[in-house]
Amino acid sequence: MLQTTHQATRGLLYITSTREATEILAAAVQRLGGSTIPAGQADSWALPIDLSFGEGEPILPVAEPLSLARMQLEQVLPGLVEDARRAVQLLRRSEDVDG
Amino acid sequence: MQQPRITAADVERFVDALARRDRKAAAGQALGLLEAGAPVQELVQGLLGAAQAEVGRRWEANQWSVADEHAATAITDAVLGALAWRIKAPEDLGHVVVTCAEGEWHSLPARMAAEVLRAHGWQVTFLGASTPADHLRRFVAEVGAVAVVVSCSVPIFLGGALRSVQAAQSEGIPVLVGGRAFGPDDTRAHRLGADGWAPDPVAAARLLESWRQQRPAVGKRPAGMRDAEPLELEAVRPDLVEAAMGELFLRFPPLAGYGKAQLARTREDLGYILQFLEAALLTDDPRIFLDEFLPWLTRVLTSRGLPAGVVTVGLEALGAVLDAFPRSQQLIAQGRRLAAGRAVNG
Repeated sequence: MLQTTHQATRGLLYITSTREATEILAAAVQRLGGSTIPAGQADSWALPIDLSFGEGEPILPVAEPLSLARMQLEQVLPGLVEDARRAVQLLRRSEDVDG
Repeated sequence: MQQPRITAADVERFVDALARRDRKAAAGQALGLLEAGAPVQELVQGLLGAAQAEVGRRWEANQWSVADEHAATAITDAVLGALAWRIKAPEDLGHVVVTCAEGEWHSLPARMAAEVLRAHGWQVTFLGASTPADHLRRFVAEVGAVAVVVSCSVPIFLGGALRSVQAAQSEGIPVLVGGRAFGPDDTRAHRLGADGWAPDPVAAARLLESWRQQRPAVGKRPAGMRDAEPLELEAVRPDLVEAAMGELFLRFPPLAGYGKAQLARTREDLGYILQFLEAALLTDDPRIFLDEFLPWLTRVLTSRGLPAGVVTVGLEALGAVLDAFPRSQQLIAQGRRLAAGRAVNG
């Protein structure tokens, strides 16, 4: 879990697009035993946290309730998504696309 | 310079940008208002907050899909991020940690509160969605926070909010709670033992300011769980849902024709009914179940083509399997009467 988080966080330092941040998060979700699904197809196994940051279709992480993967995602994802959000904000600011 | 007021037309224009998934237009509008002199808190509450309320209404009315709702929320979140860069506040009032209750994944309201507090001069760390209570406890102890703000939007996570409140208080740090799950007054906050409640981020900033003059006695409010019924209900919830499904097959013949996905949704809905029931029992506040959840559920289901009477039938099925839970039975009975009235009138 620690290695996955570390690898993802390092990856976020080098993103050049929002889509890369989404890909890094999706890869971390998979390494932790979950998967991702377009929000339009989501069921109750999905966690209501969008990994797309507003670029393209919303994507949600999925894991079976009460599974190890679910517990790992619940531990790791809140902080990791915040870090990704920060990275995306910095990127957008550097590109001056937020206005 | 006179500060521009946020108007209904501004909100409508912003929601239009969300509907078009036009992040640049939404950000441009908000930043334009900021440059014209609108205070950050006015933009956060009056523009972004109001727009998100409309997003929720459109989902509820089945005008927008889940995907539309997530896309709109992501744009509002990006606009909030763009506004946040422009907050120039000294951040010298003290370190406040803002977090979502354990289990609560709706993080935008907490993020909005965090930025409003920062604009008021607090140094803010936002921990993100669904922070495990133990993580919160360790973090606030490490950083020496002067206060913790716990946000909860959906009442089924008030049990998680209770754990978050207790985690921070165990380190001697006062806790302010807020968010839609806490309802229109401080009843639920009081029952969960929080040291303060605020109806909106600006009120939260004021309350935290008052704590600088007079620090509250941490955790002195009683965490008032009347009995163990909500916990017992939670422990057997999956069994109760299955038993209620059996009852529902007897009471609602169309269920026999449901496909796998529809049956899964029905199970989910029965589970949600029980979770809201647990929240009402936990806080001893029946409004959660009777005045907020049931009317909302009725609106959501009817907007998706189901008859209003389906809520009554669902409550009857649950009532038939809750013999061992007297307070739950009582609330279900009250809910059935209200839902039946709505089905007749609606």
